[in-house]
Amino acid sequence: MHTKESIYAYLVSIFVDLFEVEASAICLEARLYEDLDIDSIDAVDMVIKLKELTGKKIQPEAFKNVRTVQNVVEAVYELVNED
Amino acid sequence: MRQVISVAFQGYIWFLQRCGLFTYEIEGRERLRGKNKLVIANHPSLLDVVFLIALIKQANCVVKAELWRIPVTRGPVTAAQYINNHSTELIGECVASLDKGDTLIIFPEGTRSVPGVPPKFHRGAANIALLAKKNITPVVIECVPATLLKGKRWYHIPATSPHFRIRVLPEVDLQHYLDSDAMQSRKARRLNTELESLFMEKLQFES
Repeated sequence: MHTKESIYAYLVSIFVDLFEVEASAICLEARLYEDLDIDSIDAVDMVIKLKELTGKKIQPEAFKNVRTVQNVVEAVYELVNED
Repeated sequence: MRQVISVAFQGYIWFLQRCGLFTYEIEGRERLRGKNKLVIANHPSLLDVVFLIALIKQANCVVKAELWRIPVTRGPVTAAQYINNHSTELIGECVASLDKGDTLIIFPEGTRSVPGVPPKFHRGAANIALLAKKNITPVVIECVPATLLKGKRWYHIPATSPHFRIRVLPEVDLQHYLDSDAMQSRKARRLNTELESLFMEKLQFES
């Protein structure tokens, strides 16, 4: 079972380990591109990592409109709780 | 068509130089011979791309989208099939161009350099190099005194004619990145940092 909190914690670990973002810069309101310097290629790697977490297929389209960290958390949360 | 532009730019540089508008020197020119290279350069002046295309006979180039809208430049950039920087498939098009055997020129700063500020590169060029598995040929361009800068009008000409110094550096070898099993995003960051440090060193910025 994934809560929004656990998804957020996992995202923070991806951002720090993979994208070398300063942990202090990450918050729910942070914008991926403008604030955290995460580009479209990084997003592909992020989706791969999120697949590992959820064990579900993720269509990149599901993330088409995400702008902030909060958006990602919500999108993943919806994904793991749909059925 | 790309060759026509190259020859035209060679003529243009020759002409401007004969007029005494600038002088230039080029080091390591032989490193641009041969096909299928990925060339990255800093971008201090509007003339940089003119020099690079003049030096490379068959170059593909990532060009800003505006040039497809300006009537004078629309024809040439369309005919030469240069790559539009607003393309949604930008990275893929660049990799395909290199796979096809083109030489590709990218200015990873994405715009003209800000004078006195260390260059900051977008990671696109690093990503393209890693995906195409293509070593990078860095070209360091300096222009003293500065001319045709970002933020200045084209008619603000310096009192003394500028001197361009263009250095083609040895290839940056990607093998250790390609051998690593790190994810693309991390490798691109490492490579990008290496490239920025290289340009900073050559342009004598303190890192």
